[in-house]
Amino acid sequence: MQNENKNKLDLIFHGAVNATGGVYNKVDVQGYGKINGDVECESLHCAGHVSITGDLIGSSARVEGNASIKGKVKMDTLSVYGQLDVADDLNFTSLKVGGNVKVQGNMAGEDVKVHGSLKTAGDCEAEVFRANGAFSIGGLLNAGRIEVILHGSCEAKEIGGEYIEVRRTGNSTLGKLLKHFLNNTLTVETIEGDEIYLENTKAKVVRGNKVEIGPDCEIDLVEYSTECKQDQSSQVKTLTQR
Amino acid sequence: MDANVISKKDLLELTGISYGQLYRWKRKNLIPEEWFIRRATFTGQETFFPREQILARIDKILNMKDDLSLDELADMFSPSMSGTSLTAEELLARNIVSTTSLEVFNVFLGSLRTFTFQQALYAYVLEKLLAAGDLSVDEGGGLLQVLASHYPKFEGKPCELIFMRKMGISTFVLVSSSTEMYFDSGVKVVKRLDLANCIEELKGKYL
Repeated sequence: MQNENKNKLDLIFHGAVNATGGVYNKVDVQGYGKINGDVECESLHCAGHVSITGDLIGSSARVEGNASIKGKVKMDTLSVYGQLDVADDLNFTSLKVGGNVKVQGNMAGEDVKVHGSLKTAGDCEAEVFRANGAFSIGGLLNAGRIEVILHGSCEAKEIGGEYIEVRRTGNSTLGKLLKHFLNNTLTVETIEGDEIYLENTKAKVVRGNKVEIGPDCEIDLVEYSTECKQDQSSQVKTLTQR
Repeated sequence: MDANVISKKDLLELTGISYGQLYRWKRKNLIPEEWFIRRATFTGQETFFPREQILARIDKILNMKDDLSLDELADMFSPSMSGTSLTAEELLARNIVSTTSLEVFNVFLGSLRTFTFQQALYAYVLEKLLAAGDLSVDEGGGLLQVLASHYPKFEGKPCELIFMRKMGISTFVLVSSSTEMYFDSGVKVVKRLDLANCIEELKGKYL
């Protein structure tokens, strides 16, 4: 493996460069770069601006500047502190969103951490999905464990999984002050899971085995099979046990 | 309501699985995306599944999940080819082919020492049709020819094999799944085979 990597070239941008795609060991963009075609690399680091007209495949990427990829992205570890736009699907093992990630297709991986903002037009699948920021998922958010701390408005069409927990942010003074400006709610059509705890959530349907509706929720229909609790400040139009 | 589909709620009730399990299996691709049918109902949008397919699949998952990991199961259900190859003796030993169909295979595609998964699939389909008495030995050549020259073009996407006869003349067609086809009245469709199912059965025999 070591020898293999030695044979691959590094692609390093300082200034404005146009390059062609290909197989590289390390891609480092410090200035402004445009890469025509697919890129396969061991690692990608972008502190400037990079646009790739094809797919990006590799084992690790760190985007501190701005990266826009016109094709698919497949990366083991991906951390974004700037902005990443993906025009197709995004596949990963672990994804850290500190800045802003936009995906036009579906995204799937093992582990997602959102501290900034995540937007995807399609589905988002992961084993663990932790968000302490904002997200907007056009399709289904499907994860084994979903833990959300609401900052700003979060939305998804559907949410499904084993364990789902949605909480608002702690009662800091700043939080209280900004409460009226920020709309700290989760808006979703359907939530289905084995164990569900919700705060500040607007949903049409919530279905689960064990459901706890915390404060400030508006839910049309709650269906549960074993256990259900509801906070006084929440509105639930219909509650049924099946 | 359409009797060929089952709602998610009824499915969970009937099989006793939980939402979490269903979503986990979806994530692991044990249940194909196409089976999730979204339809508008009076409570908003609901998800439905093709009844027979999903019940058969869940039954298999529940029966096999003790022996195999979810990833192994996913591999088994996926219509893509696995990389393992077997020798002719192993194919015989695992009851994938009989000596008769192996001979037919050898006549038309040449005698092979090791079979790739794809070649084993062709032999298995041949065996299936021969054993059922649908196919004569002479017709085997047409079958193998259509499989060998056209099946790779589907690149693992689901497809169906249609075997028909008109006035004693047999024809084989490969079509992508769920295509509707109509024939004139002189045509007798002898057999329609879903190749994704054959792959699944074959993978079951490989294990």
